[in-house]
Amino acid sequence: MATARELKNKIRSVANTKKITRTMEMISTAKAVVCKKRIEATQPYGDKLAEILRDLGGAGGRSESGSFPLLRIPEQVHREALFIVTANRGLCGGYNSNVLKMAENFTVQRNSEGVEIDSYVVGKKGITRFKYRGKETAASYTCFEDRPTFEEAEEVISPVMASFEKGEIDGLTVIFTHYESASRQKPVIRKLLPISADDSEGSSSSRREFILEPSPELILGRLLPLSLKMQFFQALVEAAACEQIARRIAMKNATDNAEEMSKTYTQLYNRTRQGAITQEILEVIAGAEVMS
Amino acid sequence: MADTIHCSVLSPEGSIFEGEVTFIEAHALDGRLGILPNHAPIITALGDGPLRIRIEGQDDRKWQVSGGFLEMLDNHASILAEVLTED
Repeated sequence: MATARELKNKIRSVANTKKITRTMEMISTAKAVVCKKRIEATQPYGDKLAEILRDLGGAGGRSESGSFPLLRIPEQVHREALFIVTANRGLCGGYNSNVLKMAENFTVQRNSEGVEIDSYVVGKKGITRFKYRGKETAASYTCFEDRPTFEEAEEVISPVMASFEKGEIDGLTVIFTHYESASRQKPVIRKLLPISADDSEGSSSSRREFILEPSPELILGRLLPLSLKMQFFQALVEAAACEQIARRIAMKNATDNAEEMSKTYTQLYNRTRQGAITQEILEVIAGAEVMS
Repeated sequence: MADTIHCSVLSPEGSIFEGEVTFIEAHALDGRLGILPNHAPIITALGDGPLRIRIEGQDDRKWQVSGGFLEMLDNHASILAEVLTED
C-alpha cells in the first residue's frame, strides 16, 4: 500500500490536471459557440450561390458546358486530389483519427480501382500521421486555426482547381468532419469535382427568365469557381467547429475522470492516515501499560 | 407596386446588410448598374468597384466590392461579394 505522502502527491497532481482539463473544456465551449455562429453566417451565401447556379442551369447556361474546363467530366479517372481536413492540435478524442481512418480507407479503395490519389493534408495532426506512415503528401497546410478565412481557403483550393482544368487531375474530394447539429458530427466524404450533372442542373424548370449580364457563359464561368471555393471554405468552417466540440467532450470526460480519481485517492489517503493514527495510539497505550 | 427593394449584402463569411432599400448601384463587369424597385429579374457578375445602396431617410451605405454576383428577383436583391470592404 502506498504511503500517505505518495497518495498526497498523487491527489495534488490529479487536482492540477483537472484544473487544466476544466479550463480547456471551458475554452472549447466558448470557441464552439463562435464557430457555430460562423457556420450559420456562411450558410446564406452558400445557399444563394447554389440557387443562382440552379437558376442559371434553367436559363440554358449549361448548354455550352463544353467550353468550361471546370464542368468537364473525365471519361477515365487516373489521378484524384484528396483534401484531408484535420486539426493542428490533439486532445480532442477521435476527431483526427476518425477523419484519417476514413481517408486511408478511401485511398485504399480508390487505389484498388486504379486511381492514384494525391493527398493534400490540412492540419498538423494529419501531417504527423502521414510522416509516421511514411506516406507522401502532395501539399500540407497548417495555416487554418479555429477561424479559417475565405481568402485562405481560396489560396489553398485554387491551384488544385487549376490543375483539374488543365487535366492533370480528374477529381477532387474533401474529407472533413461534417457538422450536423451541436450533438452530431461525423466525418464525411464530399466530392467537389467533377461536378455531377444533377448538382448544377437541379430543377431546370426555372421560375423565371433572367436577364443575364454580360452573358450566361461569363456568369457561369465565374460562378462555378466561386461556388467550389465556397464549398471548400464551408467544409473548413464546419471542421473547425467540430474540432472544438470534440475537444470539449474529450476534456469534459477527462475532468470527470480526474474528479473520480481524486475522490478515490482521497478516500485511500484518509484510510491510510487513520490506520497510522490507530497504530500510534495502540503503541502509546501498550507503552503506558508496560510502564505501569 | 412596391417602392422598395429587399436587399441583402452577403460576403462568404457572413451577412453584411439586410433591409429595405430604394436604390442599388453596383459595378458590373461591363459598367455601372443601377437597380430601382420592380427591376426585371437579373443576374449579373460584378467587377471591381463601389457598391452603394440608398436607404429611405438615412445616409447611403457604401462598400468596395471585388468580384461576385448580383441577383434580383421579385424585388429581392442579393449581392454576393467575393471580397468586400466597408468604404
